[in-house]
Amino acid sequence: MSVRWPTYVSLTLNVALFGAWLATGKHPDRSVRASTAIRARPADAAEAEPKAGDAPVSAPASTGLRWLDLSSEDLRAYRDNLRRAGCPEATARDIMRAVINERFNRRRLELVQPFADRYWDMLAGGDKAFKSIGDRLGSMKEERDAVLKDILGDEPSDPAAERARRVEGWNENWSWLPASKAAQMVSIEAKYQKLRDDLEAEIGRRPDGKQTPEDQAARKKLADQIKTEREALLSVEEREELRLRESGAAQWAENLHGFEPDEQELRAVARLRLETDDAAKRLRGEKWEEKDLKAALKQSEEQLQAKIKGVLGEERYAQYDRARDGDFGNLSRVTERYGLPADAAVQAFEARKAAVAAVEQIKQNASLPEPERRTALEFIQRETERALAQALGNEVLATYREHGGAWVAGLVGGTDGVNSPPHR
Amino acid sequence: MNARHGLGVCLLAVSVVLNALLGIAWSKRATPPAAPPARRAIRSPRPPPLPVADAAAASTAMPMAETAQQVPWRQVESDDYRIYVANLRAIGCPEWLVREILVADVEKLYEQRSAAVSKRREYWISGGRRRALARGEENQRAALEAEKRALIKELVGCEWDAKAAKTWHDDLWGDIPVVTVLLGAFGESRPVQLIGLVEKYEHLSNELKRKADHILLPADEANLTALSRSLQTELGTVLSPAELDEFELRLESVVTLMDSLHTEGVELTGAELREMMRLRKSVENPIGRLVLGDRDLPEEAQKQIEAGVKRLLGETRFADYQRAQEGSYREVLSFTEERGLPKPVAVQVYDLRTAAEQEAERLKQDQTLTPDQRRNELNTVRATTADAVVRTLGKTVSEDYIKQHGGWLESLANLPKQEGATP
Repeated sequence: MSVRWPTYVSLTLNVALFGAWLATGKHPDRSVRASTAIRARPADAAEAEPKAGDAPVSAPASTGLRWLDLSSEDLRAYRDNLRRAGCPEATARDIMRAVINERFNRRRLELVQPFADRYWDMLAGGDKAFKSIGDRLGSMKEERDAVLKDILGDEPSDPAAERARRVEGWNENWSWLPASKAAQMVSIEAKYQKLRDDLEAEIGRRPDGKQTPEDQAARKKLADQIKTEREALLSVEEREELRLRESGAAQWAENLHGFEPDEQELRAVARLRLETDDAAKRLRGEKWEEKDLKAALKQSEEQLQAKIKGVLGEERYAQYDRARDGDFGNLSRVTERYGLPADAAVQAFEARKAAVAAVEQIKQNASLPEPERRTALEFIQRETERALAQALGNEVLATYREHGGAWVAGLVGGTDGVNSPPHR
Repeated sequence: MNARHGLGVCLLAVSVVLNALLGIAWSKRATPPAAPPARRAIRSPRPPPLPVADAAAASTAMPMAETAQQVPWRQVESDDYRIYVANLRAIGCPEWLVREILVADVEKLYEQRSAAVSKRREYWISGGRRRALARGEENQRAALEAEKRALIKELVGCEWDAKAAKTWHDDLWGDIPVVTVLLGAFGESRPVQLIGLVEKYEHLSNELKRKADHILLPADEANLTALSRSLQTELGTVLSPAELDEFELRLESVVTLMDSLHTEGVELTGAELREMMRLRKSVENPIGRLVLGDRDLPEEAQKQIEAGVKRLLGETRFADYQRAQEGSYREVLSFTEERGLPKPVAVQVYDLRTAAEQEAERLKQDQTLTPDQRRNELNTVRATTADAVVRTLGKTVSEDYIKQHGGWLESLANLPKQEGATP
């Protein structure tokens, strides 16, 4: 059998594959091409710094870029070389900051390293020994900051990003409105933000930088205008919702532990709280004697609690009232940490309430002789510890003692929190 | 014929083998590297340009748009971090700068990803639900932080923390020179590595505490101890054993001297101070404290340190050391030093004060005295002490002293509240 034709075919394939290999080699991945470009340089060329004033690269060579052509002792030339090479500004800033820091780091180390061996003697000599080093380091930092400023300019502000962040915030704030109305609201926000920015820019441009009463008036006018425009856009219900959201009243359940109100409860109590807050504002605006004002505010708070009870119902109100107590909060945190059922915190809290009541009774009994009083308090303490251990278990009780439960050990003294009213 | 045929077969065989080799080589060249970590495009808007050096440079600077097709930097950048790193290395970018460029880029990417974790929340939700959502977001951020650290380590071959670099380059200058000297001893890049490791473990420790709602169970304590050991091990990869020992001693010195230990008037040598730090370190390692947080030393441990210091300094200087821990002694020592008076003068005034305060306290507690008797006795203590202070410091200096620091003399005669104000 003749091998001539298979040989021809195979040889042709050799040529074709060699060609393909070469062709792929003309467009290797960038790292391969670049490394080829520097392979001809001495091994240490990459670390060598060119002389100051080296001409910056004017255009990229087709063979690729060399760091040697970008770097320069002259920081401005270094920076401009990066720009001409098409390095993105953000990256150029990172590079220049790193280069400046590296150069000053070397100088800083030259300054401090000779003292490294004398560290202990200097430290034994007190602060004075380090003061002169501190002063010199401080000056060097000022110098570095000046170079950073010279080379990088002011820290870049990014108005477009700032605008985008604001719009995102507005979108979130108004997301509860129907989409078209939310968009209108965002437009209003943007319009007034521009007006506010213009006003502040104008004030900032003044040579003396002083603010005038007219500035305050202009700010207030803008605030009133945006409020009017917003309200014109909203329905009565939406205005009410906005008022609730903008008031602190809506955050009434934020720090409660062991009471999870649903949306309806959250809104209902927020409305009641807002009414009470408004009433309190009115009271404070009127001329009252201090004690009368206190009494009126107390009465107002009591009325609020009665209304909340009406809205939540007896059982839910009892849960809410317990959750407002800081000691119950402490118990809840500890029991949640151990993954105990919510009931454990409730039981322990009942034991605390019973202890508080019993101690109070003994305190009120002035005729009780000291030894008997002490015996009674010791009995309460033992019983309370037993009840708490039953509710929580010994390990959890030990943890609780360290996280809000120190009062247990103070029962005999009749102090340590048992006498204090519940935290609200 | 047979010979020619044999030659032809050989040629064919060589050609076939060559084809196989060329085929493999070609396919290798044509195949991209396998699954490198993606350098997702950072979409932050372009910051304003860097300042232009001068007008000439400005006129020669090429606008980006015109050179977009030929800018050489395009040949270096890649959406694939591994290629980006390789390209930077290939064009001769120094290794430390490769690291800085990469880390800055990765930091920006993860800053964006971390910011994106915050999700729009329902407004009308309970505090418990809101806290749970916040915890979830914190966990996601913590996971991103871990991912970022792993990526940087993979790319630059070591742990490198941009925040630590910022601390070293921006914060550790003249304000706390003792720390700059401490860290500067370890050369150019190791200070950042050391700060980075410490910050990493502080972060891990804070994360653990946050997840535990700051209620630490025995298992959490064990995990914190493990973290502390881990930090020690990792520091051992950056420092030699001798360096690590010295680093710990110096760290102890910075922490204790800034925090609670005073040596004013003790006249310690550097070697003595170092030995004192070794005594403290033997009781509680400062590396552990960084992770576990400040804790009161057990009384036994404090006694052990005190006994060691006494052995080191001897009776007399140990008394100096004990006095130096008292604010009232440091106050008078500083006053007398400013006026060039010898240390024994400060010691005398301090002793007068201590004795007078003890006597006044005894009188205030003495239930056998009537209020009038108590008042008289306290006034006598005050007057005799004031006379003694004048004799010790001299008339002129004592006037300054009483004006500036004499409040304690007045307090000597203060009566208990129920017996009325100071006469």
